Amino acid sequence: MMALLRADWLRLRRRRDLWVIFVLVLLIGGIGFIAGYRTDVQDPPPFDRAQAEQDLEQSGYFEGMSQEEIDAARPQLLADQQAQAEADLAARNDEQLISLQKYEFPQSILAMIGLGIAPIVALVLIATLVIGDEFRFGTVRTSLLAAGNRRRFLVSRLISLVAMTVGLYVALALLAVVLSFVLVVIGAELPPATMPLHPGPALALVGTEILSATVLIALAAALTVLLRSGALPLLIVVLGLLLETFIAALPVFWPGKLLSGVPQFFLTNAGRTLLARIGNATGAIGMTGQEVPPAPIDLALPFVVAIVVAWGLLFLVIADRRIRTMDVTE
Amino acid sequence: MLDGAAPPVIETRGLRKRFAGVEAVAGIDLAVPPGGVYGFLGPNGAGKTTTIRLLLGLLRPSGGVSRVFGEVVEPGAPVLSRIGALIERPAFYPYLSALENLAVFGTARGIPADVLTGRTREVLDQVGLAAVARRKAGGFSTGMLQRLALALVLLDRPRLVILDEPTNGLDPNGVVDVRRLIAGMAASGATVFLSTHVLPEVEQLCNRVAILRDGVVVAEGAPGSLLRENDHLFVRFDTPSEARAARALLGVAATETAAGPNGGAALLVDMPASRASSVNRTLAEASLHPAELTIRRQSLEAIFRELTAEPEASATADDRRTPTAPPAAPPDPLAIPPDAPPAPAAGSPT
Repeated sequence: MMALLRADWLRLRRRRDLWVIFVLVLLIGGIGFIAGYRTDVQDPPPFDRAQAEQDLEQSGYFEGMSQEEIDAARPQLLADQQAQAEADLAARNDEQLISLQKYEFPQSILAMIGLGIAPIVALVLIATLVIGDEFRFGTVRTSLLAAGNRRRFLVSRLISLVAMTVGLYVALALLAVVLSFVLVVIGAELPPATMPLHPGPALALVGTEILSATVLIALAAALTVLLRSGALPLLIVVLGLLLETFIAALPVFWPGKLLSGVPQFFLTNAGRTLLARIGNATGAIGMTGQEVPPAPIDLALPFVVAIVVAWGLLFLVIADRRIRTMDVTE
Repeated sequence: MLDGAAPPVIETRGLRKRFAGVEAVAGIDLAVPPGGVYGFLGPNGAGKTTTIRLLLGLLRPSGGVSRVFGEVVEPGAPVLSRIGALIERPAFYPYLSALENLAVFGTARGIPADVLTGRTREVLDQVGLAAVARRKAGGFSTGMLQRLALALVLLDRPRLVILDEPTNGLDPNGVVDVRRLIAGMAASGATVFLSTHVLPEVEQLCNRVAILRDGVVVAEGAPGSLLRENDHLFVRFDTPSEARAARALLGVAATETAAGPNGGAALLVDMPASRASSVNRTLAEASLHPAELTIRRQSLEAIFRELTAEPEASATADDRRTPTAPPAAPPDPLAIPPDAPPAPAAGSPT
């Protein structure tokens, strides 16, 4: 097995497309992080009395009123607007005191990896590329002959992909740390940290992210070996998501607790539930208060984990069965 | 080098493979002895590549069994990693150089890194790719890919090498180089199972051959014995009446043929060289005295063509050799009693 993993490393490290995807994910993460900071740090423009007066005139509010009535009402209206603007600013400042903390270490790590969809999409893409190319290039036969045992071939590919997943998340976490440090160094506006992360749930969240990515990799692997293609599985995943949405909408037509609970057992629904419930417990800014998907059947957290794991195992069993029994005609 | 008593390196029993209603391999029995080069011949579509893929565990058989080194071959069988194989249209990672491809597959085969470093250079030099070792395989021609695949085969000096059309796409120099490599592998004690269309290759390299047609083996043996089995006796008489009488005497085995520049009338007798003396004696006993009796040996190409021709065109030859349908032998007018003294041959092989 170690020999196969070494061979995978020798091979995958030379693939430029994978590095490009890797760098793109970091770039998207970094740009998202900085753009998020710039948005969050921006104060609303100060109250502009002249502009407010002009807006008031153009709003048609004074239509039908005499000049005396207008002159009497205008100062009060402007004063109300100014008070509202000042209240908004105060609220915004209070909000900023919290929201800007997510750009500080260690909150920044979860801000970077917590809710990003790019790493997940990238990993599914990488999985289909890494396994699909074996069929596209016809190297699957040489690889299988070299590996001898077909299950070992599949397991080594999956381990390599999971290692890449971990590597990608570690790189994103490091990027978050570096960017937090850069913000401090350049004297960016950062409030004092008052919102601590809860280490247990935070680690559980990172684990859940990696578990979700692994399950999706297993799905991509299963589809890739079933279809002997790297492109078709991506299409199937999209169709699968649409199908899930369609089935999830069925209870609208046939109400009932049992039927409406079915979507809870879908992979994406269970995954989102898991991430939201654990995310809410982390104390991470931006993750607390997330909306948990509707749950007509009350499932304990371990049960939701079991649903996600079960989907992953199902995909692995399909991939394993397929790779061990398929005729290699490439 | 060849050891007839040792268990076969490759053995198949009733091996079959069916694809969507088409029987590509229809019950192959093979026993490839250890050492030497075993030729696996057949026209396009005869089932050679399918058989090879079955032997390499890339396909699951629809029936029968194959064994390599005594172990049953199935997808993922451990014995597969002991085989060096070149499958038609070799495939490599196009984004890796020749050197890197060998390193990847060599590492996957469990060759230690320190051994690989020197060995990859050595085998690339052997196959004539040393100058392009760092070039990406994606830019290689068919012939270069073929050479790279051979380099991969040579990498860990396997005891069994299975080669499917190894000289495809090679220039004449490449063909000679590859033949030399194959001979070298066999000389080092490896068993080489060579599938090819190139009959001179077979004549030069192979100790034994199997000829495949429509998914079954129609002939098997040492090339020399196959040639001998397909010998014909050329019998020329001074007069047509003698030839007619001889034909009546020899029965269905004899057919008329051109007498050649010396004139007279001639027969071609479908019998091996070992029967020359008995033919001569039979004719002499009937007071028929040939002006010439020589052995006409067919080329391997002619035998191949005869054995692999469409059944309508070569029904006689096929019926004689297809193991799955043994023919009823016609009565032999030249049967020699067991105690009869051997008669001297009247002619010499041509």
